[in-house]
Amino acid sequence: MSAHPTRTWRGRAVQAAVLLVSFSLMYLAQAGIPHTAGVLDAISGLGFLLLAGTLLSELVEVVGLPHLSGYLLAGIVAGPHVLHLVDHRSVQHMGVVNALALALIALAGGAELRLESLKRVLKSLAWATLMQTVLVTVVTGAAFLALSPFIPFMRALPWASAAMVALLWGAMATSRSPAAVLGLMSQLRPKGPLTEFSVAFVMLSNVVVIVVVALVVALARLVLDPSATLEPAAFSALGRELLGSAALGTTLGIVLAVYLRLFGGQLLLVLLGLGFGLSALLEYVHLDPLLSFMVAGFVVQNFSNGGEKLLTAVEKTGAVVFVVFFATAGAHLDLSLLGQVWPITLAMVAVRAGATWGAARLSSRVAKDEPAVRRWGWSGLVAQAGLTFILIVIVQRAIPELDAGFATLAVGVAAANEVLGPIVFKLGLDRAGESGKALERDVSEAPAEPAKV
Amino acid sequence: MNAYAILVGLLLLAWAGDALVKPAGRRAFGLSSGTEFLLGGILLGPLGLGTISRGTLEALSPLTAVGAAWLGLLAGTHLGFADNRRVPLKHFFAGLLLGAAAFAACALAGWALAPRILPLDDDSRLLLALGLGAAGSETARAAVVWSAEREGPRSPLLDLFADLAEADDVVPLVGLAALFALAPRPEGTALAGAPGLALVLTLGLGVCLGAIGAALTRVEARATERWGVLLGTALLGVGLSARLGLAAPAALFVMGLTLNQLAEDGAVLRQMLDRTTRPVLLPVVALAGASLDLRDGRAVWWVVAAVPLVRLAVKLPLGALFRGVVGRGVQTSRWMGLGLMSSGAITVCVGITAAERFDGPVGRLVLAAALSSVVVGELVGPPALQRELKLAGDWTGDAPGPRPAEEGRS
Repeated sequence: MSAHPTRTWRGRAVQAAVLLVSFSLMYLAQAGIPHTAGVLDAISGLGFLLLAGTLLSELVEVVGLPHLSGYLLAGIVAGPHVLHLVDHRSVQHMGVVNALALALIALAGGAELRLESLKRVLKSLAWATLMQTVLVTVVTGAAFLALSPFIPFMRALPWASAAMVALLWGAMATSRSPAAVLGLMSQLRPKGPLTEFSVAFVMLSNVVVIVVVALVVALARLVLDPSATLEPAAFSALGRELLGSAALGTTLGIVLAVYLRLFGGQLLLVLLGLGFGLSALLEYVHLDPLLSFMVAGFVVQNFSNGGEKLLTAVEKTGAVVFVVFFATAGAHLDLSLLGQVWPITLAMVAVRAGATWGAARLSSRVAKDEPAVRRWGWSGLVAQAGLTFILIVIVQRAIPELDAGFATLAVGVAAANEVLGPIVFKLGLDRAGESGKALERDVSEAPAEPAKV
Repeated sequence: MNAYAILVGLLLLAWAGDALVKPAGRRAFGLSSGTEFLLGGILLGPLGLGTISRGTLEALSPLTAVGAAWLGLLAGTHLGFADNRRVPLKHFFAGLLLGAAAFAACALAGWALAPRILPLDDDSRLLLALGLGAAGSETARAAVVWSAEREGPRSPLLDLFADLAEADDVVPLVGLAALFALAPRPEGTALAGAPGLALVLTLGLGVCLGAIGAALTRVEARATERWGVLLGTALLGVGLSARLGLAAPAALFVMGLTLNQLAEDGAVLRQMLDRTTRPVLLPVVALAGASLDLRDGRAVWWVVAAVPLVRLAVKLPLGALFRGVVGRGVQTSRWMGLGLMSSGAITVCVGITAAERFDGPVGRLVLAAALSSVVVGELVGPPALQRELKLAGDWTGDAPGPRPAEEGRS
């Protein structure tokens, strides 16, 4: 069998040359003409990130890195903090496309949750959720507290306040990245116990982390703001948000399932409409788009026969959706900020990874997981991305007393995990022997080609 | 109305555009050029119910720009090709002649009319003349595809109409490129006072992007990755054109042409891109309808009447001249030129792009002329074509026989 054309040296050379030409084009345009075209600047930025992300993802494959690293790298290099080919305003304008990408990722994530596989990994999930939530929160929180003499904004805080901020830090460390897991699945087409566990855990942990962070924020406010009181209304609002999102997601799932049954065609356009329209609507009524779309995907997969069709349609957008999501995330990364807080960032990344690894080993032992999950179950839980950044903003808004340095450090750690996480998970999937297994199955199950006459 | 709601409405239109195209490989509903969507746009726009306000149109203008440019790309990939066969050279040059004659006549009419209807300076007068030329020079293939789908198998007459339509798209888009190149730019900004350079840059950018697309699709066979490459390259082209003040549809037209020439599997790429035609066209048509602005009063009615009339005056004699090209034994009438009156995607693209670029009367009048060409073309083109087909014996009025599925390119 001949090599895939993109993976030959000629293919790589063409990609590298085109990448160089694209960068030169953008650089010349940037140097020659100031950013004047408003949203159309964002469109050229989007096009450039799509092109450069796609090309870099192929090129980093040569050194064994996942495609997501290529997307991130394209965003970092072209973004406002390095070459400034895509400016701040353009990155902000891309938020609309990002919201769409997030909706599609959540929909695909929900559709990846099959009831039979959830039943299979239920015990593992329960133990992992408990261990990861408690141990990661406690260990990273304690490390944060222990390192507080080296963290400028923590030095001035009284002990109780410092402990609360540390607890908040710990709670936020339990957030994961469904986008990274699904992005790698789209590239590597893995299949096996590790894949099954990672998808289920990461998707469900979304809900858990939202609840945990909300609880800790309420507690932290009591300590950090003397005038604050414990408001039950805040919890009922959270309950309404979660239940409302789940209810809306269920309705959306039913509508999608009916559509798939009756029409089925033009699914991409339907998904685009739902992604744009509902994301805006959900934001307006203060419901969680991530949860709603996840539930919708889950309903379609498990209560209709349109699940595979939905997954295929979302996968078709993968080459665009994941590039946009991660390249934009890369463009957001402020390297100078990382440079300011790198020693603490590095320490916190290491502590979180260590705590995740330890909690995974412990929960795997108790749940008697399969060897692949026992050994590599932690690898899919390192990455952080969109949800973490959203949580940082929520925490900042809820506790204005919190020093800006908290957000700076949290963004730094999440950014580092965003870069490292996909690499670690790819390593895990490769070592567990699950990469490409879904593809092999698809090929072996495909009908035999009719004999040529 | 909220821009998000309008966006979802446009996506619904795109859905309708695709969904209503092909039950069993045939288009079943609607008019060939999508004129009903155009009228719907006018009805919902500021001139009608006001559901789509000027502010919303402004918010959606980047989307309109991308849609219009994408139509330019599609036209570029099809230049010289009709239904996956090369257009014979004789037909190609006939199409070019048809487009150039219509362009020249409409531009001259615009130049002559301008001082009588509006107080314009010489620069604006030239721009208006060029814009009207571009808006009046397309012959759309919509009516041909329409008839073919409804009336059954291909015929020499339908082939001729299709060939002429596929050859003349270059004229309005070159006109649009010239219009943008001549547009005034503030002193000291890029390309100020250098219209020739702007034209060369439009060409160069298109060739460069097309070469990028072709090189990458040569080494990338996976469809999803190809979409990423084509979409990325096209968006980059739209953004860079906007930044340089160039006509994005013209740059992307050149990109499509280059892509088609340099790619290893142009036919596959054309087929891939063709699927986007109706989903992109119908929202753009609706937005063009909503953007119609009659504030120039009498001047609007003058251009709305003049451009279709001038087109008629050019196409009737040229149509009669082309009777000799169809071939002996095919009976045609001296009114064959009426079948060439249809306007479609490129005309709308020219109109909306000019309206977005020129805030004043030039943009508004070019858009009005473009829309009147489309509506009059829809009223005159398809019936005339059917009459010619009947005369040639290519259509008996019976139910059509099977025909390979074809996308609704306009």
